Amino acid sequence: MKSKRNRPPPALPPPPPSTASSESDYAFTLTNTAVAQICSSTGFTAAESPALRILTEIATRYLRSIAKSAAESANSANRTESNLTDTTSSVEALCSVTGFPGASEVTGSFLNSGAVTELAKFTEHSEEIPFAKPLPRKIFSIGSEKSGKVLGNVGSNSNSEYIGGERKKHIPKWLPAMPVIAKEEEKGREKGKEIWGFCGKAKEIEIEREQKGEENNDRGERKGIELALNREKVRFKIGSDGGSGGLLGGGVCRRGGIGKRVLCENWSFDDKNHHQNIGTK
Amino acid sequence: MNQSNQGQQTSEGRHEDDAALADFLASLMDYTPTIPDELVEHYLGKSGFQCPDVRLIRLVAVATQKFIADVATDALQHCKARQSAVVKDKRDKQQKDKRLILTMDDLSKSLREYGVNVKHQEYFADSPSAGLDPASREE
Repeated sequence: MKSKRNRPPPALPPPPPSTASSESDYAFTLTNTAVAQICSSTGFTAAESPALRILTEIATRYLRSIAKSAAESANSANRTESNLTDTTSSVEALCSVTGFPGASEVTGSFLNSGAVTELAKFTEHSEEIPFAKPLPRKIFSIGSEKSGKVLGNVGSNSNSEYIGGERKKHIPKWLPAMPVIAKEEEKGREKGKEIWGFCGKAKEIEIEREQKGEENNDRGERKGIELALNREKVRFKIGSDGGSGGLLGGGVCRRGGIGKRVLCENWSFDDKNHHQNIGTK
Repeated sequence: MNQSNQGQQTSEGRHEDDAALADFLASLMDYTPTIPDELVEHYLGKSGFQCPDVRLIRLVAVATQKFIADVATDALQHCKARQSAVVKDKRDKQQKDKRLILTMDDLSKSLREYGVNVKHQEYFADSPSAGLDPASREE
């Protein structure tokens, strides 16, 4: 007879992969709990399960309709992120079914919106009902924590405390964090203008070219770049010298990257310099 | 002169409204809505709502909570009205007063005022002739 101790424990079936339906079921169950809490705070002692399910479904639809309306109003104003105006207008639109004080004033500003005032009164008079069970944060925000936190730093100074970190669900975890570009911006600001572009070399080349003779002065004025009074001396070579790379006969020495198109005479089609000649724009 | 005075008054009024709104948004961070932030963010993300500000997420959560609370309050009123209309012995009434159950009838009545039409099947029958009189069944 085999003793029960020697038997290996029965193999449990592997957990099902998280699919969209299971995620929505999970969210629905959580919303069910929250709605049940709200009903019990109102005064109900029990609820029929189909009635509770219907109320939960309505809660999710209400939430999503506020979000959809706010997103649409933001998109119509050439924005991807909704702000207070969008959210207030969408809340007002949904509260207009039953009405709120000040709904008839079409020209009023969103600052003294009646719907938001009613929400303020609701928060003042009603008791706080925190969610019954603690929620693990990882389940809903699967995105990269690094990217989220770094991106969270880049924002307006006044609202920096409210900007969340782990919100980027579409960013995979293995992706490295975004580089902090504050130092490069400081360099660009020396000239009184933020220079566009990441490449530090290109910026240096632009600065060098700005410090050249009158030809570049005209170009600088057209671009609107402010030139410093004390400029460094720059060396450049003109002539048919095959030593340095990218040198064109009768043209200006250019090291590739960002630059203006210049008509050059006496092209030398060397195999080595072929790529560099064509690469300049 | 008058126009400048009016302009000053409107700017002062705006400052007050701005301050009131800012106070409310700040108070939202102290108030914990019943629907947790993560859950709200999940649904907002599904609908295309993007906002890094947590205060707006809480605003949406509070708006939803208020809506559900209003619906539940109306359903409770309907439930209590129905119970008071039914005249029975005192013992039964006391027992029923304690048990306030959210039913489909009360919910559908309260939701009708909010523009949501909910209709629930009263019963499901096995066959078309179930529940009919035996005389009509024979036919």
